[in-house]
Amino acid sequence: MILKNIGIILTPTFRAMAYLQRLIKNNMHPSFAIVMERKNKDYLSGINKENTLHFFDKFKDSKVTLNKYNIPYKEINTGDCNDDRVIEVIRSRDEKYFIYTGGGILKEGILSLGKKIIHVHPGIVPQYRGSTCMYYSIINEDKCGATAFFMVKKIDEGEVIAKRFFKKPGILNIDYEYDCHIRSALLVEIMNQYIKKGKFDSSPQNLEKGETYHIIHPVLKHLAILSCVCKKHKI
Amino acid sequence: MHSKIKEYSYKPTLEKPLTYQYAQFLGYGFIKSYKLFRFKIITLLESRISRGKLTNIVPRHIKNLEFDDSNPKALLKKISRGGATKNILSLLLLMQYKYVNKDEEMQEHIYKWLSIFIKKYEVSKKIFTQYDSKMKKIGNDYKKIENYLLLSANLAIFYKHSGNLKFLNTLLKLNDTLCSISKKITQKNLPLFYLSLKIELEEVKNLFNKRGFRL
Repeated sequence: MILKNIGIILTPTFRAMAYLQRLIKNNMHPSFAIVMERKNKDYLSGINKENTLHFFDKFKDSKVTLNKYNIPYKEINTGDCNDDRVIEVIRSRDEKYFIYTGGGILKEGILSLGKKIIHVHPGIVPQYRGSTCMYYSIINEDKCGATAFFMVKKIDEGEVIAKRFFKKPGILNIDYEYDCHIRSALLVEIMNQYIKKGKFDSSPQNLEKGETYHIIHPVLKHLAILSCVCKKHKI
Repeated sequence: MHSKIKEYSYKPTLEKPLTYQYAQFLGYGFIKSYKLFRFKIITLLESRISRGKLTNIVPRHIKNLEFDDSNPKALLKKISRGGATKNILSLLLLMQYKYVNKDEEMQEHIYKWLSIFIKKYEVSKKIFTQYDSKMKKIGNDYKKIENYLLLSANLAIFYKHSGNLKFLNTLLKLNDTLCSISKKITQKNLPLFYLSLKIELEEVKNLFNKRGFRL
């Protein structure tokens, strides 16, 4: 089924691959895609061979998927969503919503196009803001979560479409795998909501509350990962 | 996972900071190397400072500050005027010493001010020598080690009291840097560094212990 009015901005990241594959697996085809290409494939270094994929096919190129399902797309050689060419394509399209998969902090140019950019954040907001907040949530609460919201200039402060808790991962590769897994799961949930209602319900966050957690220190990151995958142990 | 102990590898300096992004998981060995690295520096510091109670370090450090600490609102007003970072952070240390665990409103203010410094440090990895009343930097000097030390001590004490991981997280990063440049820390400031490292290691141990990992 074609998701009317829904486009996706595909960056060369595992998150983008996961989103696209999961949407398609659930018979949800975005009506258009922007494919941001980078010659540098350094993002692939995040793969640990012993820790192969559980949730999606990390090596399936997005363009192969788009071609297979006849989803129209435009390629742009950039890694930045704020690139003028990306903005021009979004402006020229009829889609009202675009799914964000990474590609920098959004600036005024893209945010003022009158389109809604959907982001799935790997934490429950407002309690957990910041890109590595999943690790803090695991340490604090022994679980993690994700929130879908419309992006605004202030990071992680947009109107919330949906939130969901997830159990903590049982795998080592959280950054490149479990993170993509929970975000794509929530993405499918909000698309189901969209299919049923023809719109997204959203509500503002309480901006007085919450916490922004900065990039997690390796010591705390190790604690979070160990508490996911190990039994009690004397270090 | 492997438990071979490699040397602790996070050694940023003021000139060459680290982003800590996408840090690789290295298993138990990494935590052992962290513990040994910090323990070595703490032991070294113990040989260089006169041993006394940890609780005496802050009052000794702030005893020469010429502020009327009986009026917390006046202290807050002084902080909000901006000025030398050393003074702002010393005042925050004084306020923590006097009011943490005693005055909820003051704790809120301390939380707010330390959060501002955390954001400054996390974004630029620099603490500038002076800030104006809107907390915009004045000048470009960011190399005064004492400011990093004062922030580190403030975060250590605030984390100990609040348990908010945001404070421990930046404390770990600051102390990575301070450990790398520890030879440049003046004798006068060593006790404060010692206090901060002791609290950090103790609190990290507590966190691991609470989750069933004996560190």
